[in-house]
Amino acid sequence: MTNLPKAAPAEGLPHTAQATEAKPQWIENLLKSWNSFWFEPTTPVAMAIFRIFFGIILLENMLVHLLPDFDLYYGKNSLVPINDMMSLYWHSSYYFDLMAALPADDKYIYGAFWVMVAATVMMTLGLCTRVSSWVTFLLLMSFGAHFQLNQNAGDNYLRLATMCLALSNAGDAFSLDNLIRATRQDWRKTGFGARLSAPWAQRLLQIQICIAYGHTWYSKMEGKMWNDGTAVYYAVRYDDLMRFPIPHIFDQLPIYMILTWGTLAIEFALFTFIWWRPTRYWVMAAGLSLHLGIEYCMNLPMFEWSFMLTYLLFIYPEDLTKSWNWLKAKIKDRFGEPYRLAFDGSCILCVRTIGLIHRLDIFGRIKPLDFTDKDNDAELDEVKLDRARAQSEILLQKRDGNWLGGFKAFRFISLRTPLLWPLTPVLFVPIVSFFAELMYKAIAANRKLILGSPSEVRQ
Amino acid sequence: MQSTSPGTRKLSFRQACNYSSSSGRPTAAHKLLVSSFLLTFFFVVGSWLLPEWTPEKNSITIYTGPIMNLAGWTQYWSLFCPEVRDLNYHLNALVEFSDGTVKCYEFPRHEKMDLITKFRREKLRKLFGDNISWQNYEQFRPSVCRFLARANNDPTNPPERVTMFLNITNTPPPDKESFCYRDELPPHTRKIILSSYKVNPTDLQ
Repeated sequence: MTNLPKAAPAEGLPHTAQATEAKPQWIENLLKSWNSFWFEPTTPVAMAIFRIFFGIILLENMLVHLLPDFDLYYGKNSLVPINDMMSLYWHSSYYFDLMAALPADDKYIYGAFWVMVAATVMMTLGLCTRVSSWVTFLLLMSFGAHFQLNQNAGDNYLRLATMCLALSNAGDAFSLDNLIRATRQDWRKTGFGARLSAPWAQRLLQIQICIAYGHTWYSKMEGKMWNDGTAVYYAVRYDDLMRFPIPHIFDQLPIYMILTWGTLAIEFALFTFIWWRPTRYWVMAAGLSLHLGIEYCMNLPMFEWSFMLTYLLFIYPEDLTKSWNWLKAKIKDRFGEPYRLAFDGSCILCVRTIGLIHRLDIFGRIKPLDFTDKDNDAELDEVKLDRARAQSEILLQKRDGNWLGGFKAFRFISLRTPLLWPLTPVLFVPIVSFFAELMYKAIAANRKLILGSPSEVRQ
Repeated sequence: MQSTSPGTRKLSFRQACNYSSSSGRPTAAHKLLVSSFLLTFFFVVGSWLLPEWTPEKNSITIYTGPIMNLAGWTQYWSLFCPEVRDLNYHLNALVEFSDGTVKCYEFPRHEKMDLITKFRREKLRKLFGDNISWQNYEQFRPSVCRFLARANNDPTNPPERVTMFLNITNTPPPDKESFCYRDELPPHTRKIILSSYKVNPTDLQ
């Protein structure tokens, strides 16, 4: 589990101190606020969680909404061929369209589409996150420009959010990139917390959603129906957008008037009071109820979910930590104390392996204990750790007090770590477990020769 | 939680759980670059979103609009506003063949689809319902007519003309006399011809 740190405390800006001496106080304050808002290092965890769920929405867009009618939009014999699109829509403006540079053959367009899908999958998993996000963004732009007529506000938002992801450090937590990096790092030096970095791309997306709410609110305020309270009455009567029914008891004008003015009030709060800490979560709750209400009544795929998902970025890091710790505590209450796992802290291979297990163990079901650390002596003596055996393999204590060693311990862990579940059935195949056990013993016997060195040994 | 370097001392497991390293503060050059990008973004996007009555708006957007389109920063957030649509409609086309017969084609109608189909095919609604049906996109109608002509081509009896028309009805206002429940909306009975396209032999190739 990647822990969720608080934002680092503000530090002075020595390199600008001399230059700002002569500046008026208000300019200095403005610059300080600007720096603090955009560049004060903070955790990328919220952006990383956003990345995962947003990637799923992008995949939904591509595979569920675009693919069924792909030829109609993008094929060589599409409804509006690209030459017509350029002359009738692009006019003298410029659009980014990689496909316009490809030969006019469907296989290239399909190729670009599947590259976009693959890049989105990689972005969601956090594999080569920066590159995959950029590829996704550029291809999303290309497909948007290639056939503009199926694009809606949701597509605009997907594009903008993907750009912010590509500019962010969303791959620094909950990602394969982070796991791969962790296998090369010593957590005794780097810690387990996600690497702090400047959150300017996250802030940009926060501002972008406020721009959207602010603009829609202002436009609505100019409309007669929004002011006389009948707008929602008409909006839920778009017969091509209807989703679930509204019972007649609620299908009444006074209710629609409350909903119309309520929408205006909530949208106003979503770009103003959301920035004020005491009201932030209340505003987010109101926004969720607004979007879920629209989601119930109207068939507008992606749009509502991508907006609701962006609220994640407004959750304070310490509250994310608290929420996750609450969940872990609930799991601990339900399934008992975490399992003790004794490892050799003087072996760098063991340290890295334990680091990997800990990062995968998102619910905190495993409690690693370094038996070379004097602080753990009392606890390990109490549970009667066999130190001689622990020198040759990692040991995991089961509920009955017995210790499982080596490969069997790892297999036991995989059963209790959801992220390892795809691997678990393979580990129970007899031939696999036989060879895995042999391999474990061979590696364990030579572990200090593989990565360990005297310099890495804990003093 | 710490973010400062632990130095040469190594953390215990418990300490490591509460420690985050930092990628470091951005340099002044990095900040300048990012700040320039942000200010450009806000200027380009902000000028586009200014109210239409803003003096000199067009003289700014003539420069910022192309940047917005090229960079993928398109902003369109006027959903259901300033006014909400007070009508329902669907699109049809008549394909006339050389022997005088006529075929009526009904474009996808989401109100007739089941929940899953209308969810999957939402982009078709955007295409035919929100865009092609309206004046802002009328320049695309000949392309749609050519597509329909090709799709219905019979070499022995080729299509000669394609006519697109809208079937429309007003949503009854919510006053006492006209109020109607959401599930009792009137059918789309009024017809409006949108375009009529004479098919050329080259359109069928």
